[in-house]
Amino acid sequence: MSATPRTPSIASQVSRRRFLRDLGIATGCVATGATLLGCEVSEVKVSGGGDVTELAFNVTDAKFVDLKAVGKMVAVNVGSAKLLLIRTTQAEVIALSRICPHAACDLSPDGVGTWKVASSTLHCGCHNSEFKPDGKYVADSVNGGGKVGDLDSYPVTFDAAAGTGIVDLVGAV
Amino acid sequence: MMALLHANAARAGLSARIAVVIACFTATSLTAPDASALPRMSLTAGSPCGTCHITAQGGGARNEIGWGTELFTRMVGFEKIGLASWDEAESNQLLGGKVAIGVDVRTQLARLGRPKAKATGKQEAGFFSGFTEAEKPGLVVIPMFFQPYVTVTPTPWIALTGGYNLSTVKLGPKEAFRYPGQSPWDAQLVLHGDAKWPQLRLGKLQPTIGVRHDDHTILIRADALEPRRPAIPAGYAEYGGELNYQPRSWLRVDAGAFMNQGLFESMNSRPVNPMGANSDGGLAWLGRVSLLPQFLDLGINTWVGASAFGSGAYLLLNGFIGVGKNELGSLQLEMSRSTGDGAYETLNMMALASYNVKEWLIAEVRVEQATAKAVTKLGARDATTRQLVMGLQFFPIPYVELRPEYRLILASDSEGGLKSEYALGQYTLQAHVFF
Repeated sequence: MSATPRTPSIASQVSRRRFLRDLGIATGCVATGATLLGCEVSEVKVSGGGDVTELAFNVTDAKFVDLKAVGKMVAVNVGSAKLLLIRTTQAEVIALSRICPHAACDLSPDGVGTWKVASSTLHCGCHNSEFKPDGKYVADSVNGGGKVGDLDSYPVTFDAAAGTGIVDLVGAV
Repeated sequence: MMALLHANAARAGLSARIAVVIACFTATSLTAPDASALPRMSLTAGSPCGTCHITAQGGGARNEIGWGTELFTRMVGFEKIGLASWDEAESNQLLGGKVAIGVDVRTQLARLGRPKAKATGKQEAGFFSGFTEAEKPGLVVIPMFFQPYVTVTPTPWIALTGGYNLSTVKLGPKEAFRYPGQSPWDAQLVLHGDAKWPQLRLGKLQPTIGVRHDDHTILIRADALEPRRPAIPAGYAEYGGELNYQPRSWLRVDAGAFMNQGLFESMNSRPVNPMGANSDGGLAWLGRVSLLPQFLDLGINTWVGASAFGSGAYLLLNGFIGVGKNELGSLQLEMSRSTGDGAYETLNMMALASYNVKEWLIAEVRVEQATAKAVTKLGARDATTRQLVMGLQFFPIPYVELRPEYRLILASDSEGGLKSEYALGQYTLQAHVFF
């Protein structure tokens, strides 16, 4: 009498197939995860702006005319910097980098940036980050709290009577 | 509820548990809500969203089947963690089924923002030749949603359903968070007769645009000018009405008319407003057609469709195609194209693959690209963001999902002759609670 070849039941085949498949996936996940552990990259590159060291402005120029009024802002790209000029008081114009370091939202007046005259802070409409006139992040103002970087601050020499000023692009803090 | 689940299981020839999982996966898929939109679930289940949700669109409040499905989607049940009595809860419904309750909670731990060059950063230091080594953005916890739902069903053909996202409420001195265009609440009257009739939704609701993911990190509803902030955010809602009609199992048509305040708020906060500066207070419209052929013998579900959504000068076109195999996985391809004032043009694409390792453990990979062009006050602007995301959807206990992800973002933005680029690779963790 010949022995009948034993064939695995469909259930066991499915089970074995499933097990092997899961094993393969798990192995792949572990290998991929291990590979990625070293992949928290963080790199930047800026190009095409030219070697510009300062920006001269005059509030009578159409481009900067908004700076005639306290609380108004003007966005400008110059050199390798994306700047926001803000008329904080009659006597002062400040220059800050324009991209919020929290979620990279554009703080230009056409974007989500607002200068709050009462508190003298720059507000980002994306996640409520706030920044002082020197670019320093107001602790925990962002939604959810946590660490947020500061905006770069550029020295400005402003002659309120003449309405002219110079932004020092080299001396960013 | 359990009787209903068992009846469904017998009809399908599946265990009650599998039937529940399939039904639930269906419900949370195509157009699911703020915290739980997982379209791949529909492709691996093959059921309409309304199986588990109050509305045919899906998302938002879940019905009894949806609630039961969440209960059974878990690695371990409550009894294994000393909460056996929680497993004995029979329903999310009160007052004889006339009132249903639920809640969605979602938080995310992530590095938000772009890297900042180190003062002493050196060229060609790392991953990408020519880039400068940079500081990582700080880790932040983002409370995205805390949204309870209530549904009142006075008759079988009328439902009043809505929810309020409490994470948008200001508590204490800090401002609450809300994306421009994101509505803190939604509420709608749902009229639905026999299944062969259209469902009419009236109130403050989200138009059925393309496939609703409700994941603010997916680029398909963003634009590359501000890729970290969706143009159509999760929780977007407008006053208006929409008809959802599925005359055949393989065909669905949606059409709606809405006010445009939410859309205007979102668009007007971007570098250019593609709707046009004077479009506030106008109307928005929507049309959508989808084909949903199923190959039941093979356990394969598919969809292919397109939608058009517009207001003022803004037009958003979405196309989507997907295929899924029951209990195995899915593949989705999507694109969106939008145009508007300010020479505004975007083209976004996404491929998303999922694999069901277990009912409670899903592996996902997606590849995305978003491109945008516009003319701002500062000149011509051209931006591109590419993103690779690999992650898991892990359901350890009922009603809880953990979503660890790794994402690699490559972004470039050129405006007025100045080009800035960055690369950021990071781990994120999302935690969801659905009830």
